[in-house]
Amino acid sequence: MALNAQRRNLGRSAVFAMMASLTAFALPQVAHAEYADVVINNYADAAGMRPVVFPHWFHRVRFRCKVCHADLGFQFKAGGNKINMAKIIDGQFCGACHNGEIAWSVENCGMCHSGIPGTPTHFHGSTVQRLIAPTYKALEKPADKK
Amino acid sequence: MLRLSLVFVLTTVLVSGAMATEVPVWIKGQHFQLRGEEVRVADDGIHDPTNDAVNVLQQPYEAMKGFPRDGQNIINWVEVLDEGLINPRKSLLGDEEMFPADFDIIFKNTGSMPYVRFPHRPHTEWLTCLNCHPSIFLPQKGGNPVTMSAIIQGEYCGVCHGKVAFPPTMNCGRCHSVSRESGFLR
Repeated sequence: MALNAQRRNLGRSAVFAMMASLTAFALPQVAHAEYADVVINNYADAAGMRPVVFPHWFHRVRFRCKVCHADLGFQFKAGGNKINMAKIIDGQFCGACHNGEIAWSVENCGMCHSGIPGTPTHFHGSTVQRLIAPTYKALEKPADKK
Repeated sequence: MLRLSLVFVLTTVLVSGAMATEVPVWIKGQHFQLRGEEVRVADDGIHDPTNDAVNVLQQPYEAMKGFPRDGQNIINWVEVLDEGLINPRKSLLGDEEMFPADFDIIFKNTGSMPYVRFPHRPHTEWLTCLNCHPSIFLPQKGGNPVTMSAIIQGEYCGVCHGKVAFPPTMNCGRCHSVSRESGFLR
């Protein structure tokens, strides 16, 4: 009788342990964001806003690359355009479309400022991000201590 | 026994927690929604799921449903455009024309790999001349010392390929497409 109870107990705790560890590993530990999503966090975190996530796939379905990267003057560099809300409201960069005429306007804060707070500016899934940038990170650490 | 299992649970939670903090979620990950995968914007690891506005955004698997894919199962945007599945505007209001240039450049300094054929036509369906010339590529034969090392570090072709166009770490054959034995002269 005692042996049976012990066995049952053992079985239960094993099941409990397995379930708990599975839950721990099921938490999101890798990003599944789409290739070429750009997180832009030049100023957002410091201003208490979520960083901006720019989805390239959404925009390239609707516009040729040239419209933003030639006509509107966007540099080919994540965070390299130093965009702020004043420029957007003035009709520059995103504001050329996001003005309530071609696309929805700036009142929809959360639709652009949609990233997880603290996510740095980066080109999501880029070759540089995956192969080059982590190396730079590791090299910067000793310099921080000085 | 219960204590043992508790210790086990705690260690797994701690270890997985440590793994998660060591490398942030936004660095790790898979960056293409492959055919059959449906990851919602709210669950993609870079959007904040506590932000209600995220639920308004279009889902990538809906927008790109049925788009043709290349040998690596990633979306082939050149085919998407050629097949007319999308008709992206050529200017803000869609009232301008593109000026496609239809000529190829063959790069023959490719070690033991097949030569690279650079087709202007699909590139100029998306871009204007000034996007690449002269700041990224001098418009001059032999004027651009393109290497795979430079491309992987984001220069030359790597300004787009590896960020938004198909990456240089996959699909070697999409660029290295001309056999060295074919006697292709240019």
